[in-house]
Amino acid sequence: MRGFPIPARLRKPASCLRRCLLVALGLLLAHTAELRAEGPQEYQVKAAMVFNMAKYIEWPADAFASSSAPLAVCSMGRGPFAAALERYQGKTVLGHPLALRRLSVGDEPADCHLLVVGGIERRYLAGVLDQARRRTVLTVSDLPDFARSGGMIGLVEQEGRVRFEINVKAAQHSRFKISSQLLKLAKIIKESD
Amino acid sequence: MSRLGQNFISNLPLQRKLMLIIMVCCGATLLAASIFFVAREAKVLYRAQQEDLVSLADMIGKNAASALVFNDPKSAQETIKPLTAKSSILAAYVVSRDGRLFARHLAQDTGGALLPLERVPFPAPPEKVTEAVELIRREADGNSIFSGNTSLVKPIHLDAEQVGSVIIHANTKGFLNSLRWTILGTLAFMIFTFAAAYFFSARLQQMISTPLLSLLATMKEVSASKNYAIRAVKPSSDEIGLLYDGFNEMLCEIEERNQILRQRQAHLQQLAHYDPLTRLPNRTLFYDRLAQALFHAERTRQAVTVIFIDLDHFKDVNDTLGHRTGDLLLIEVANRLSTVVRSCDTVARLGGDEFTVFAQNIENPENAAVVAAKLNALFATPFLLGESEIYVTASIGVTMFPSDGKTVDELLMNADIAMYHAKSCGKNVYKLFDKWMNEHASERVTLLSDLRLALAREEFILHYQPKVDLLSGKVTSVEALVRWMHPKLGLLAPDKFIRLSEESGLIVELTDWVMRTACTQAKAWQDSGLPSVRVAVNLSPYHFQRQDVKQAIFSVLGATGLHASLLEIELTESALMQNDAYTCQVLRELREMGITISVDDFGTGYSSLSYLHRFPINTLKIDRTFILNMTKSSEDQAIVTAIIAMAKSLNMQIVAEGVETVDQLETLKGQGCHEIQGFLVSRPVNAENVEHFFTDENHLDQHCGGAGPGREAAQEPPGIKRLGR
Repeated sequence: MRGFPIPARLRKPASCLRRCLLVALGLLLAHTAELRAEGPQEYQVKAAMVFNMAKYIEWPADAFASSSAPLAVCSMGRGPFAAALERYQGKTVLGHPLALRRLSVGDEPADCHLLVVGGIERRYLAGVLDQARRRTVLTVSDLPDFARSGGMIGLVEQEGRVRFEINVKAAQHSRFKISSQLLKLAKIIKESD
Repeated sequence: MSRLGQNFISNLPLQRKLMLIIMVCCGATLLAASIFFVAREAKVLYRAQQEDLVSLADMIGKNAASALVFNDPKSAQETIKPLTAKSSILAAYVVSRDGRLFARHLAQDTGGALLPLERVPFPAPPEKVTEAVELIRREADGNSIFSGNTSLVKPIHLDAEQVGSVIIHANTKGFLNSLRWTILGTLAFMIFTFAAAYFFSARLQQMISTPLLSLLATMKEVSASKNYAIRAVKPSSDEIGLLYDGFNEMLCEIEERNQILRQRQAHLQQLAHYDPLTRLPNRTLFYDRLAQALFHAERTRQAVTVIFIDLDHFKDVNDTLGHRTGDLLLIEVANRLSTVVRSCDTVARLGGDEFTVFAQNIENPENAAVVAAKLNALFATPFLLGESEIYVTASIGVTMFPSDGKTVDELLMNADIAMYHAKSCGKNVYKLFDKWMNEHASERVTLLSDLRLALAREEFILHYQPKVDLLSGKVTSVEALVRWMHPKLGLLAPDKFIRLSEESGLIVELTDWVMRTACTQAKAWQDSGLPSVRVAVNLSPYHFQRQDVKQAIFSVLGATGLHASLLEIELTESALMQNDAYTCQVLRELREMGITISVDDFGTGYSSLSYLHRFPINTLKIDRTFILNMTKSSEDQAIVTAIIAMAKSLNMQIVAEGVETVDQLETLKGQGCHEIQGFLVSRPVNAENVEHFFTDENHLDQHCGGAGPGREAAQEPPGIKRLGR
């Protein structure tokens, strides 16, 4: 964007320049945030949601070695979700730089703080969740009924928008604290449902 | 305009001025303090509201952040829902970073303001929204306390990343309202304080104004009543107290000066209107009173008599008994005059020995004559002055208003004329004024003015009358006698002008002239080889008032070169009597120079004879009246005999004056008289004719032989020769 040539006569007032930049930025963001359930853009949105969501989660005190220790985000399963997350490599969440890792089904989610479960077969899900539960890993997935199945946060499409489903019990069980800000946007799921 | 105001303030009463000063100071202080506090309060209130808004926006931002990042407008709308309860909020928006309007709240009453985001068409294109937000942000920077609305754009951050903005529009009604109440409260406080200040200043200013106003009141009272005895009571010991002291001191000073002034005025009044010696009214007061009396008399058609009184021979009293006695006499005379007149009449002393009286309600001249006679009778008894008892008479002139004159001056002049007539009628009498007296008086005035010119015009001439020794018949001396060749009246004898010249003071000059002329003549005779003959000059008594009489004679002798032994001086008895010791001294010196001294008209004076041996007198001249009656009256004969006998025993020469007949000559010869003078020998003739007598022949021979006596005796009255008095 910075290399974009601007006619000399428009450059005069700084406010004009700033306004132009903002308008351009707005257009760009509007593109990414446009809610369309199909295509790779859907995963862009979901990746952004995962990234932003992390900001509302409080890991247990022993989860990080220091305040600037990396936040390990592991993605399991093949598909566009993991690819969409790549762009957040190195970005920080509450002081922790994101460290992305890919896991295959069956891999132990060791040293992971957040596990994004992509397109995996349903039958492996319980095992993965079980592993994650043992290691205090926050689990996120766009699999249907993920939260109801014992996952912590599920991303579901609803009225053309991506929404949260949060299994509070599961999160609490793994000593996660989820901000009320997030909770008020989410649908709270109980396992028994 | 400002001058007018200044004038107004400076003319305000003191109380108002003091109050004004207090109130202005108080008001200014109050106003400044109030403005300061109100401004401070406004600032605090404004800041509180701003902070309120900021915290509100912060809260909304925090709550709306998740809704923004997770793209949940519904949830965002929830976050701003509580604002609907807040009346001051006009509108609130949550806008995402990319310009999407997430939440919007608009109060039902926006106060008519069209907010920028409301102008954006719906559905809102992101670029328009971003533009509007930017506009609001800029406007918010220029927000002020009183613009009515305030706007706030607060960015929403999530994890150090801006995710959107909260925009709040609020009205400042609440702020303005509380500010209004603050101002009202302050105003009420100001008014209350001002009223309290007014109340106290009205009391406090009295501390200064009351004593000053009371001083002012005292001052007004003093100036209105002219009572300088009033004193102001000092209220305190400060500067105002000093002012009181100064005021009182000034009053004291004024009072003192007033008193002195009044005394001096009274004294001046006394001096101006009363004679200090006799305490009688003086000329000024007399004129004044007489003028009033005349005015009154004219209206009531009454008569007023004005009487002029002059003491006879007062000068002699002064000369012989001293001025102190003269003063005592005047006082005594004043006392006596005062006893006679009625209380409505006035006695005044015009000066010297002149007194005046005027009496009102006099019906006719007879009554006036009665008054005059009464006044005259006052002088019948002698005056006892110290140890001496003296008789003094007065000449009185009487005039009547309105017959003799209408004015004060006229009446007094006529009274004076009448008085002169009384004097010339032998003194010690009163005369009523008559019209003919006036004519006589005017003659006198004319003659006096002629007399003043006579010396310069050389109208005087000298005649000489020889004195002859009875034994040898030779001329021993000639008496110089003055005559006045009046251009209109012809040759005038001394009795016509000597008194006049004495009164006017011309006698001194005249005597000088006579002496000089006589001495010059005598020297001329001597030089022309004629036998030595003395020349006798009469000295007026006035001459002896001049202290340099000796010097005058000496200078004449020096100027003419005549030997002193050829000069003889004739004096009257009264001339001898005045200034006794001095006269004696002068005569002694003259005698030592060789001048012969004669007493003229001896026997007519009334002085004591004791002076005869005290004074260095050579010759006595028996008065002509004795000689005239000698042959008819035995008493006069006896007097002549006694005088001759006395003179001989005192070793004095005897000269008989006015010898006209052979009988007289023979008788005097028989008595042993030394010399004679008179028409029998020669009447007074001019210098040329008298030379004929300067021979060795006996000029008495012809008479002794029984020849006709007094060839020229009948032609001239005896009184003509006299010079003096």
